[in-house]
Amino acid sequence: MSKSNVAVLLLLRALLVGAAVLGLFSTAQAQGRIGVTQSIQNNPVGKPPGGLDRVLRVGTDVQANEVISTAADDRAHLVFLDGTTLTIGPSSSMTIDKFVYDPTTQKGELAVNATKGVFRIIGGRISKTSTIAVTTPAATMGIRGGIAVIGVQASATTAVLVFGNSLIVTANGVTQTITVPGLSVSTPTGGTPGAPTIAVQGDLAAALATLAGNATAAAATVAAIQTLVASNLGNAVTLQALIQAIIVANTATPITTTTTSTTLAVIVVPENPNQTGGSPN
Amino acid sequence: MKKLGTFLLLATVLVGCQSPDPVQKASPELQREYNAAFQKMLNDPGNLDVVMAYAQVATKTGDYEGAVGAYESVLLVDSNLPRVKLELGILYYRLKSYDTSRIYLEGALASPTLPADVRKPAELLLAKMPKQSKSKRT
Repeated sequence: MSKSNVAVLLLLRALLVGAAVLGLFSTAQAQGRIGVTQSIQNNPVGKPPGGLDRVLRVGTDVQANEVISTAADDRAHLVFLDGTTLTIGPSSSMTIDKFVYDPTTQKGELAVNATKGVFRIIGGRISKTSTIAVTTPAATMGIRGGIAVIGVQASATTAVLVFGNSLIVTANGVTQTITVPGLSVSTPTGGTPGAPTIAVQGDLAAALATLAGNATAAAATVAAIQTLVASNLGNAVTLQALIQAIIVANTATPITTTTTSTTLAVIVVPENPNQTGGSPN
Repeated sequence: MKKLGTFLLLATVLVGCQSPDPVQKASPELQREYNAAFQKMLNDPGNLDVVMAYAQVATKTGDYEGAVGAYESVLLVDSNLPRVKLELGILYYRLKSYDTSRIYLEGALASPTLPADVRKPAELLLAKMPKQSKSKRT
């Protein structure tokens, strides 16, 4: 064997060892932090593998095989190490089945299993070279280099390609592929995916609104405080009354507070003595 | 052996050329800025200034999807932010996702706290929006 052949073999061996080390790194990474909770609304819950349920807070790390669920008023927005983001809407449940990412090559795999709810996936580095796999009770989907909104109900799954190269939907041996943004495919559970159709803009707008924060609660709180202020100009308002007004504004069934404190009373005084109330805006 | 070496070199070049990732096409300096902003956001995800800074660097780099993800996370905190909706409308427009762009621009214009410097560009962009997509409107 010539010297040059030996050199090439040594080089190949070094590459193989390097690849093995990278593989171990990726596996280890898959068992640790794969992303972080970037923003939340209310109390989305995560259950890491072998761990207990925990409320996801901003900054909470997310792990592979973690189950994430939301109640009717919860939302969560996760960012993964490759830059992929996943927004989980209210009344949703999903598992991050797989996340492997090598930051050196910027390649990897991401697979999620969504059982109910509304989700938006915005592909990061992984989606530039691989397909992000999404499994639902009705279909399996592959998202390549793009943005998709997916609605999962017991009766059907609907997926919209918002942007990107392709969205491939497969069920019961039938595959439909979308390559044009704004098209959607619906798959009845147990059935096969229908032909791509133009997404109804009202439906898409509703899905996007579902995935955004809820301004209603904040608006209700502001309105309650404004009403309280307007009706008590120049008078004392107890902290209890203030809290009660906020709770009533945001609760379907009002709760009676037990907070009593006259020492923490708020005196409401108009900036302009002639003012009789109205919006602070 | 020479052939093997040539094959490995060619394969490396081809793999490098396959990626449509705009970050990889950016200048080394911009890539460093982008990576630093992303890491900062991962380590301090609740800091809106950090998130917005990443969104701006991602936009500058051409990673519009990254910027969209960051702005969407801000909207989850407060959905009544017309300036953020304008940014999203512009980004989706650049991505040629006109229906979604329209939704965000109209959302910005419907805001009760709409600043004048948001209204004008939102209206201008809506006016020049291609009549896309055969989208059904309800």
